[in-house]
Amino acid sequence: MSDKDNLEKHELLSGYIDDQLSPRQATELKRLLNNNPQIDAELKALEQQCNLLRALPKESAPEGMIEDIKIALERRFILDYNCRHQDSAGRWGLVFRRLAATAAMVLIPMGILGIVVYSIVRQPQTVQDTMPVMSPIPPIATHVSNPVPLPEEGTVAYSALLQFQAHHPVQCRDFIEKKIHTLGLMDMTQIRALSDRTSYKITASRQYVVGLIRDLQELWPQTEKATYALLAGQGKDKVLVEGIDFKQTLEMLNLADFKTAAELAKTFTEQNSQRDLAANPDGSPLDNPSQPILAWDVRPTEIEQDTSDTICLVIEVLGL
Amino acid sequence: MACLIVKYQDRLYNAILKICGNPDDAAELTQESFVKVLENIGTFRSQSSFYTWLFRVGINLTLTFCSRRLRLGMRSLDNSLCSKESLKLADVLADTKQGSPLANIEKREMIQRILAALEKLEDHQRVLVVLRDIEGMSYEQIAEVLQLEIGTVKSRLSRARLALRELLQAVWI
Repeated sequence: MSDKDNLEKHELLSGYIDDQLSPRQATELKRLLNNNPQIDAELKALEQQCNLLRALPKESAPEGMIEDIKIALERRFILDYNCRHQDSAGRWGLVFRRLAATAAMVLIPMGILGIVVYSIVRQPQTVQDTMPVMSPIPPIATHVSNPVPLPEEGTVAYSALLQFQAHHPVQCRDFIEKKIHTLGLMDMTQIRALSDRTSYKITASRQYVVGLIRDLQELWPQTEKATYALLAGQGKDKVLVEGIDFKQTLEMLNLADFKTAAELAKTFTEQNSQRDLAANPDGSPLDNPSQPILAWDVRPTEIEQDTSDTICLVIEVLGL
Repeated sequence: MACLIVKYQDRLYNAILKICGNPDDAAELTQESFVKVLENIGTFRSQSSFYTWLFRVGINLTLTFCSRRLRLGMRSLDNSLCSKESLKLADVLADTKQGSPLANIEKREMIQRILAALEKLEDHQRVLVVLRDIEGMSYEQIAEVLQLEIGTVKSRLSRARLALRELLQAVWI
């Protein structure tokens, strides 16, 4: 008989003495027991073994077990109560500390990274900031987006445009603003900054304007070209003097009569063209021969009729 | 609470003693079992009886204790179970109402051999033999205590009995 058969047989015997077999299994086992004395002997041995085990003396629990259990329960309750309170406080504290540590671990590197990035991004601007300021003079007006209101008709006897074309318009602009500031013409000056030019509209008495031009004498050597436009009625008529120099500008401004000024302008134009021909014998056209673009709608409509000494001069600086 | 303890303490202690073999350990394990059960009495569901629940806790604690003791190589220096039984038997022998002294001596010797064999069984086999043959639990109760199927209980109990018989045959010679 193999081990497996032996185990199955013993399981049957074990189940039989515990009355755990089905009626069919029990009948079959009884038949087997009647025919096989060896199995019957095994069954008796197994029954005897179980009887011996059942006959073992029953031990009683030590005396005072109830009291010991009560004491243990009380001790456990007190300890648990204390631990629970300590744990709850400690647990939240630990959670808070963990959160704080996590936040610090995230925020500190991010802050450092942000500072580094900011310093890198900010660097070019900082360099720009540290460059020497070309002109410490504060801006005389900042009405850039809104058009500057024009002087009322009939109040201006003379309107002209003096346009400079320069390679360094910023320096020229700063120089002009500085002079306006020095002469105290801020209230009489309106500024308009366009993308390619900056215009200063000065509406003041002839005396002040001529004084300003005198102070701007040093501007001519710094610019490539100066053009003077004498504006007539409704702004339609105008007399251009290209390449006008400092003295010619003063002469033009000192003439109150438009006709005389127009004739003088023609004279200056001829002179200047001859001068330019002498300077440029091949006859090629000069740079930027086109007429200046007016940034201001200057309309000296009442020049002939108005005898007041207030004039309007627009100084314009164009970059090349 | 006291009623529950009084009702079951002897049975639980006896079973644990037969499994772990040391009266002091058995007393402590019994006490611990009651404390655990009473602490968690709120979680007790009536799906099982209190008796099987208590024994489940007690047997689990005892098996854990035995496995830890085996791992640490700790073993009681004296066979407390046998000595306790011997002491008990000595009292029995002194009792004139019992059988003849010769019969008592034979009985005492037989008990010692059975206990020695029982102690040599593996823990899980000893638990089955104790619960069925000493404590007298039904197969269903054993299955509930040990969280096993009844078929598994049958086969394991059969093997445990077979192993015990072989051990008894060995110590009998």
